[in-house]
Amino acid sequence: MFCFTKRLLLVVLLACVSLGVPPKAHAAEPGSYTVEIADVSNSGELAASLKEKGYAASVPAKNMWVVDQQSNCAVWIGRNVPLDMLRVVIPEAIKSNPYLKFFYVVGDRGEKPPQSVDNTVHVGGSIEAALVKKLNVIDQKDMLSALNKASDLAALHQYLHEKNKPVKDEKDKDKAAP
Amino acid sequence: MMKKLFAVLTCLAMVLALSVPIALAGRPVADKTAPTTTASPLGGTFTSAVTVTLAVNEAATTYYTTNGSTPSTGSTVYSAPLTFSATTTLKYFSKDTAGNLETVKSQTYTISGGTSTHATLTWTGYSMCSTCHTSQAQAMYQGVHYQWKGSAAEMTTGPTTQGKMDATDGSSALNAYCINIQGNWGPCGACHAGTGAKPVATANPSAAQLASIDCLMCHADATNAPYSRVRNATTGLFEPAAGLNMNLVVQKANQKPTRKNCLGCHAKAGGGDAVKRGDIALASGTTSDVLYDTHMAMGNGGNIQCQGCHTFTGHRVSGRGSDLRPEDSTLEVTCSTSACHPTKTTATGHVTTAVNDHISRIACQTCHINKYGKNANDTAATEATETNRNWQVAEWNATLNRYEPMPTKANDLIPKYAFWNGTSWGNNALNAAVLDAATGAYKISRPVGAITDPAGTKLYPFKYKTANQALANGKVVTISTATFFATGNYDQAVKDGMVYMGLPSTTAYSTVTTDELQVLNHQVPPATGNVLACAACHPNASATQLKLITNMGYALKAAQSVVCIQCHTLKAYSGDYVSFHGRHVDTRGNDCSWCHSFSRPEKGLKMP
Repeated sequence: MFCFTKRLLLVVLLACVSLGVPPKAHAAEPGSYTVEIADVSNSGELAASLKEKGYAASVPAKNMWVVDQQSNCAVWIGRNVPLDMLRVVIPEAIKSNPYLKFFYVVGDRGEKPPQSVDNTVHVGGSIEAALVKKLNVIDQKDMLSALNKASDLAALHQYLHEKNKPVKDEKDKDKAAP
Repeated sequence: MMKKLFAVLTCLAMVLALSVPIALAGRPVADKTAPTTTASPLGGTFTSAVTVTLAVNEAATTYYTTNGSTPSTGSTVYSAPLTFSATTTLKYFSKDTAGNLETVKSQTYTISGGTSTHATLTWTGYSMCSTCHTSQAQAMYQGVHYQWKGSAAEMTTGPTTQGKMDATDGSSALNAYCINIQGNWGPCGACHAGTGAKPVATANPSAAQLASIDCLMCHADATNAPYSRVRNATTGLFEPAAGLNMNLVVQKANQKPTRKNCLGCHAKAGGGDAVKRGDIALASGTTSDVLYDTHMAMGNGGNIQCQGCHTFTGHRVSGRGSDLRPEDSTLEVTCSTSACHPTKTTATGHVTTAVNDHISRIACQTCHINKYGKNANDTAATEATETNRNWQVAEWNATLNRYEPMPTKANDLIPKYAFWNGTSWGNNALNAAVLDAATGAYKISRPVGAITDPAGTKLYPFKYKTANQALANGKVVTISTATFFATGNYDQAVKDGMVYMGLPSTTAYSTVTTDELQVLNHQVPPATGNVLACAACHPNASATQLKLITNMGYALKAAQSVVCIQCHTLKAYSGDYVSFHGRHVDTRGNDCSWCHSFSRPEKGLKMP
């Protein structure tokens, strides 16, 4: 009887673990990765929505570069953040901020951010940084399509790498006034 | 004989008489005629905006003002027709190539039928402002707010024109914050009063260049029709944020700047709220905490707008921080205007004689700003100001996706004090670094002045700021902020900076402390209960704010055995500062130089 109870409890526990957690989040190891959301407009709602889906999401304190949805229109993607998690977070972020237009894998240009950044998606990066990096605008539909089509994380990273390649003879931010 | 001599002399006289005009004819006749400038149309009453042309009858430069002030050769140079949409007095004169000055002429253009045509405007782009307000745009274009560079007449170091732009000609300022802007114009330019492109220095800006001024940064109605802007993701230039009613914004933009307009940039200098200035924060625009700033606080405060003290003349603003290289206007900011504190700088302006004795040598700010980096009691922010920036330690800024140097911030700081005559010393990019033995740090900026200076030099309070920066080949390295931001790699950023300076990247460098002083003018609390009391500075041993003898040069010029016996036998100091000083100065009328190494001739005391 006692053994049966133990076995029953074990089965129930395993069932809870395997069924109670959203399958996508489960695959993304939600405890290991985080979403940071710039404090603009409805960022609190986005954080709550992602938390409901099992992800660790936070809205850090504002700094002077956190302005509004239009100026904070970049998504900085940590290189270790799993594809399954991105497939949940980025569509939600786009729904929350229709101005998101820069999507960049941190480290794609050889930067070496702190390790925690590799495990973080930052929604609401500054357009100033996107322009300094000479990133290219990625249409939201294209981004969502790429998310769905990517066979694995490396494929998505490669897509973003290609899309963000500096355009020849493009705008020079340091150019003088006319 | 006499006849022959007379004939010879007559011949000589004739030859001389004939040759002088020939000699004179070979030399240019000096031009002593002043040029004549004609305005067209002449002044008068007009029912709508009028465009005025200034024509001069010979090669000459024409200077003008539109604010009623008398123009000088420092005024705006006429380069294109001027359009007046509101009643304006135009004053002008020309100077020809020989240096002849025309007498100043004046025309008044009265625009009838309403002073504001803004109410019916439709937004067509930034150029619409300068199309009507051409003369204002031209004045603004030449100003420090737009050029980030200007006259360095108040600098004792460096070239005649200096500023923040990243030049390698010695004119580019260093500071202990971002060091300088080389390689980082983009984010820095976010606070530039333009649409994002680097300004071009030219005396004759084109219409397109004038259209690069973003007048709305300063003139938008931040309360009733807030204006915000966003970078165009393709061009990188600013444009109005989506969703704004720009017609309303421009219709309301017929006002002088408010604190919110100014603080949008000035409070965030150095990379964040209150970071750089120590006495200015975003709170300065919103607080009702009079203890934070009785001048600017709303409610029981003065609610004074910035230009209440910083007078604008032709878009040039008075007042210069002691650490800033360019001055925009030669006008000075003063507390004792007729509207504010008209008597406070007079010999009888304060209640007590003892305080009045200080006026000639102690700036108002010294006693009335007891601390800086204050925390307003009705804001969420701390308003802490940066006291050190360590470039050797990188921290991640998630918003900007970059590394930044580690700051140290603090509140409620006691100022440093120094004598200041209004001029400044500054270390610019590529200058040889100078070690200050007094602080043990390499100087970035210093107020110029000494206790021994003539009247006019006064004791002022300053923010003290240090940084950990690299030194190579005897110069502070203009670190590559771009490299540092991208990598957090201090060593590589220093090496890239050295290459920018023309040094091999393999040049040995060390990391040193740099420091600067920045004059404090804001965060004045109500005088009652907050102004420094005598005990803050006197006597030296127990002074809580400023030790005059220890730090400021007020020590005796020699030992008591030498000083005292000039008049009497050596006597023991009673320890009663007031009585002691009163006996020697007030009663006996002795000048300071009897006992100290400085004099105060303006007091009319008895000299040794």
